[in-house]
Amino acid sequence: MAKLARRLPDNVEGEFYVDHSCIDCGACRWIAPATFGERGDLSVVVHQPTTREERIRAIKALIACPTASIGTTSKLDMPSDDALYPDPVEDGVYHCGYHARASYGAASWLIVRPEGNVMIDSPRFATQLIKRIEALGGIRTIFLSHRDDVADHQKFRDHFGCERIMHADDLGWNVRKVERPIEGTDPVQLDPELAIIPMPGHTKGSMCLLYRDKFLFAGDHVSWERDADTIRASRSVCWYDWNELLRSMARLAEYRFEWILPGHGAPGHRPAAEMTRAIREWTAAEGVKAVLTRN
Amino acid sequence: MAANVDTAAQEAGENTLIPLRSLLEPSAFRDIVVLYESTLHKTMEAIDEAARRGDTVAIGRNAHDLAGLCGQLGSGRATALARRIESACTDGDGGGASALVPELFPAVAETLAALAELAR
Repeated sequence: MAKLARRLPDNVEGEFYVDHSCIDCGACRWIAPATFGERGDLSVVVHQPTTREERIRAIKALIACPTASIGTTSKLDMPSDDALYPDPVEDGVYHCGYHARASYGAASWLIVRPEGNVMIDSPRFATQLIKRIEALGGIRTIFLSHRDDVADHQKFRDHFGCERIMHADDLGWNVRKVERPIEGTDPVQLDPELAIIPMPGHTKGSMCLLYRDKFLFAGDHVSWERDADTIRASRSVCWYDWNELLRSMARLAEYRFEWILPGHGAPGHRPAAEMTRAIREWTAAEGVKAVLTRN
Repeated sequence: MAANVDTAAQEAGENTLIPLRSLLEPSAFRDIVVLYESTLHKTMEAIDEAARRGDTVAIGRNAHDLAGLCGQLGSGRATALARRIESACTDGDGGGASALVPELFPAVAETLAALAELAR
């Protein structure tokens, strides 16, 4: 729980603040960009919310913060259901909030659909979230994009009795067994709307999930660089093989999608043709760098 | 015993990788971080497997390594838990050591997350 006595000095004066326990996961900065910004290696309040919408976004950031580093100077009045998770994105896709510290504040997502809801990666197992997910129809499937962002997957499995999907190459001490392990690098069509795309690179068993050729749930394979308005992948946290990640990215350009919903960082939304072009340009540029480095 | 873990978590030591970040070339620093990441996973895998087959000696040996790794990364909670497991193994309390292993999972996951934070 955030402590006023440990409030970071760079916060602007006012109701909301971030304290020294911040781990700079950046979640608050994309959930409530009008309120939170980066100073040094930490997030702070750069502008106190003044409109109802800004205040709701700030409360969502407070709830999502994996280290409970966001506080308010007085008791918070929760504004109805607007500030609660899961938070609608578009077309039955939701952001689950309640980011987990054990996955460095990674985001998780929920697809609500008549065929059965799908949760992508695991948030904290929080009572308020569970109640809301139950009201939305529960969870039939958990898609675990890779071994790092699994958080409370076992608790969700135990509560909802859902099937977990994960690549066999990422099974290990933190996820020993899932109901549906995926093998190899060929895509797997789960049903007409959902396709699993193995994307080795960040980890050996990294995978993306494509929904309706519109939403790409990207795990840690690829993220959206909001300031540069393009995609990126992080070499500094590439645990398995960078060249393999480049090959995976080249394959990803063959798919159509408009949204990138990553584990870390802001969602990206562009027309499909722009997404394809961004992936191709990034892959070409990084491929040239890789060749030059080898030579 | 739980109080020891809490105290250790609050008194987490210095992360010895932090000074290296400004001294090394980014690629060299990245190689070190990746090595820590893979070693943490391998050590946890070894502990988990040893616990499953009831090999107290192997649990203790790997818990010792894990305590060292997590200590270098300033992860007080994981370090304290690993030391408790090692101590239980030294005392011949294999059951007690194995019972503590699941507590390691979230603590080491947080250590790995902190490592990723350092690498970004």
